[in-house]
Amino acid sequence: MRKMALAVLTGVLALSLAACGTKDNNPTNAGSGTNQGGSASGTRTYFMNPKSIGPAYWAAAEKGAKKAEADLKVKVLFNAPTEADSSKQINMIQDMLTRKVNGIGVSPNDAKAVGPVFKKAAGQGVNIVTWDSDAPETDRQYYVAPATDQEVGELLAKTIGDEIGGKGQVAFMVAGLGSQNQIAKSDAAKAYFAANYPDIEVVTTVASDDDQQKAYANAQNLIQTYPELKGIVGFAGGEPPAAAEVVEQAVKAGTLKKNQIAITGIAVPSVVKNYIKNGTIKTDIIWDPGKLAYVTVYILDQLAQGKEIKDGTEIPNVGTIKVDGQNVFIGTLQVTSENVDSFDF
Amino acid sequence: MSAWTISLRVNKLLVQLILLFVILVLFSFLSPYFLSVSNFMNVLNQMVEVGLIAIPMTMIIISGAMDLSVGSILAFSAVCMGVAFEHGMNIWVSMIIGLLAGLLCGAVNGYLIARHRMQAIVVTIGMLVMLRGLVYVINQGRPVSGFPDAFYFMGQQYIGGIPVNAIFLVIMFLIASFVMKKTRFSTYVYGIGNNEKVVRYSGISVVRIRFLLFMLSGLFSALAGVFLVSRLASAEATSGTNIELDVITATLIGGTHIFGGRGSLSGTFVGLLIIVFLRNGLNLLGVSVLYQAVILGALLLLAVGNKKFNGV
Amino acid sequence: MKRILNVHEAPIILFTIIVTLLFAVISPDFLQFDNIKLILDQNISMFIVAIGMTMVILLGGMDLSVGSVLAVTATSVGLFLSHGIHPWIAAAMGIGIGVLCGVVNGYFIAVRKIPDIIVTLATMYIFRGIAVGISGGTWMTNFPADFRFFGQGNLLGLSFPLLTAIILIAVFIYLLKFTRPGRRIYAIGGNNSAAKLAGISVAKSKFMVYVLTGLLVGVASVIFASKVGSVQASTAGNSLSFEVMAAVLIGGGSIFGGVGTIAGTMLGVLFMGIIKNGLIISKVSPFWVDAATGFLIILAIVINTLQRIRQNKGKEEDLV
Repeated sequence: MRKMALAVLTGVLALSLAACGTKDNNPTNAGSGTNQGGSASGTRTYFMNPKSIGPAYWAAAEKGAKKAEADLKVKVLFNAPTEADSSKQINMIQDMLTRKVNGIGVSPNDAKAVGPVFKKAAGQGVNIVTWDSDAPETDRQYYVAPATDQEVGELLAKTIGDEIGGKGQVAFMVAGLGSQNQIAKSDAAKAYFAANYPDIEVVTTVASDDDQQKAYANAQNLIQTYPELKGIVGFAGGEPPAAAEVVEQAVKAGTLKKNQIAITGIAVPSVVKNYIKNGTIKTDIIWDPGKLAYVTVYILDQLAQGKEIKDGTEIPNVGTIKVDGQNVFIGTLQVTSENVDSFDF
Repeated sequence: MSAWTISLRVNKLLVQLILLFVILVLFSFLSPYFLSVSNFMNVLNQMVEVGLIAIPMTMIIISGAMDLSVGSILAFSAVCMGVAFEHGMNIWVSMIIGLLAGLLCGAVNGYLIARHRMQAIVVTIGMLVMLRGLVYVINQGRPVSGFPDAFYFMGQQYIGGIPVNAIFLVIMFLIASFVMKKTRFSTYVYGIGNNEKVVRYSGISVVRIRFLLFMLSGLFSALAGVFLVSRLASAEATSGTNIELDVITATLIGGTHIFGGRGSLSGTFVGLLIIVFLRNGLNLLGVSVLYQAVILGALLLLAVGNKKFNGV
Repeated sequence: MKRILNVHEAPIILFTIIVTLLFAVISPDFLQFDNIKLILDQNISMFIVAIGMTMVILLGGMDLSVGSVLAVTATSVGLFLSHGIHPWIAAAMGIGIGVLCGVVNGYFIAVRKIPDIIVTLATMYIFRGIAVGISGGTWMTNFPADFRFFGQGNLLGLSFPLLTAIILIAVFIYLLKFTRPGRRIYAIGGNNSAAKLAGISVAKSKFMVYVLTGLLVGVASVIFASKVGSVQASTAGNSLSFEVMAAVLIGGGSIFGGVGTIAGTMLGVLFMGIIKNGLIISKVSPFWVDAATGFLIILAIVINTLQRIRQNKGKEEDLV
């Protein structure tokens, strides 16, 4: 009997915890100016699904999604598994389809694997928009991105190529050897080198599995292994700061000359602020993940109301967007020492 | 002795069932979407991979060991299958290749652990790292997709409103449960977990039993891989990462004793239902995954922790 | 010669030397002073955490939560720093939080008598959730310059983290070998019920070991945060527990407790560090790095087992 009581108690405790969790979210919903006078079911609800929860990049995106929630007077749920795992992500999307949301914004971990669940969503009349990463040849209606993976990869290649004078060894640092957006970007960068800078040699690609310490150790090993190394390109938010930290420490220790290794990559400005000010990173490519999420919610809301998305649409608080077929581009930003303080993410 | 054990076991199962029931009722009140046939079928569809691996895991834990390499075996066989298919092989032949790959991994584990009496945890950590690496070697990290529609039958179709893969899982559980209740094999497994020496001195080959258990683990991990590929329509290098933690959590909540010797498959099944419904319900409520992790941890500590363990 | 070969750690020392020579032949850069310093430097937090894990495994337990504890402490240190707290105080408070985590683990394991694996599996989830929760999903970064001392500073001509690690290793080797609490750990791991009958308080020893492990992880996390320069709560220390456990077992420890030494563990950590560094230095294709690492871990275990069989010839039943 005691055991039973304990088990029941556990269940109650777990669920009251759960209730606390939801309560934490409620104030934002209430504060978002949802028209409480109308029936609750009248509020349009969207599910925003990033690749994972935790990285600073997605935290910035969440802020944008919450801003859109307030501006558009809709309800936005922002959730994902703690690790960038495709099957867990799809389970979560399936759960949300049960909840009968009006639209889903997904940044798929695997472009192919989301096909079946997108088909199911389309069958239920739920609009799907992909953001940040695409899933072409599925039932998604739009893809919201800063630019194509190819363009971003080429831009990174061009930046590093210009900085090192179009000659020498370059190493790539990626978040995962298996993640599609990383492969697409690094392939594009390699192709760009082959076409425009034949004297640049990509010596290796190392992966950190999104672990800061591993990224840091990877960068140390790169510098040790390739004394002739001229540049490092980091293809995900964690890589450039790790590379910059290692290079700064090596410069301080006297094993590297200042500016011997150029670094560029994709990184959130607040994280790399100091490295950019010190000149360790000259140029960093980024887009505002908050705006990306904002636009995604905006488009989901337009779709839910049956409105069309037109090229050159002016979105309040964001600006003009470029629509090319089913792709929506918001454009990339270049962060340098001059403008690094002007970003708020 | 036996009457006492049985009453204890029934009691345990009852507690778990009540816990499950409480979870179901509470979520039905909290979320209007929870209590629906489509949601339940959805959950059943999602639990298959973890469930399949939980079967041999329960047996292995009962025998006093542990297999941490299951997630990597899953990915390895999924990718082997994908690559075989890409090389123009028939999908069913590829599937068998995938299963054989899993069986082979299990055999390596079993050979090292059973035959050479190496520590199961280290060997399987080593396999975890090595197989995950081999997956990247085989397909360079690129996912394989484009399987024929007939193959998706296993992971995406419903028979009479129930997902095919869930039916398969339940059948597997029934068979395994029968084996663990009625056969001599199960006596040996429980026996090894309780006192390996006594089993050996009774003239039974502990090596063979352990070997068989790890082979089973490899085979079921591969099966889970096949079903995962069929459900997601894509064989990718990262699939199954950290699945061992989910499996072990389900097994432990299901009342299997971590030091071996005690436990049951019916308990594991209930444990599995508890964690998948908990996760599903929390998802429906829009609870952030961060709180979900904390809640799962607290549940594990309270539900499993309050049993008497010092009476071993 | 024969006596050397009978040292418990002999085969793994030999194997480490062989692997080192192999890498040295493949790449001339490997056996350079700078690179050796680098390997030590990269594995400082592993070394420190492994001390705690060795004691835990000696008791016959295991601690799956070390990675999450590392994330909690590193994140809270980052938070303290961003609130302008002095680096030394922030570091001390961070270590205090590590101790607190250890107390939580110790309470459930020693006082409530719940098996180690269950408790630490649960706290692994809980601490990770707390870490990401308090971080608010953002990175801890842009630490003040003074804080860098912990990861990069020099003291007496040695780097501060290395010095810390050396001191900690020396202290704990002494504790385990020559003091009563240390010998008690071996006694309990060797034979729990015998130890109990001999009047040793198992609960007290267990509690102490988990608190000490929390303390060590706290120290490691301060060094980690200072060295890497940024902390991401959701992934920091993700694979730490498995890696450290593997290192302890490679270093001759037994998962069933009672067997193992800190020196052996350090060798295990070093072995793993050499593999990780060496594979990149010798320019192995990145796709092969993980596969080769796993293979070498298994090989190390095979060698260890062979040694145990050699030593236990005739004592068939103690093999496991």
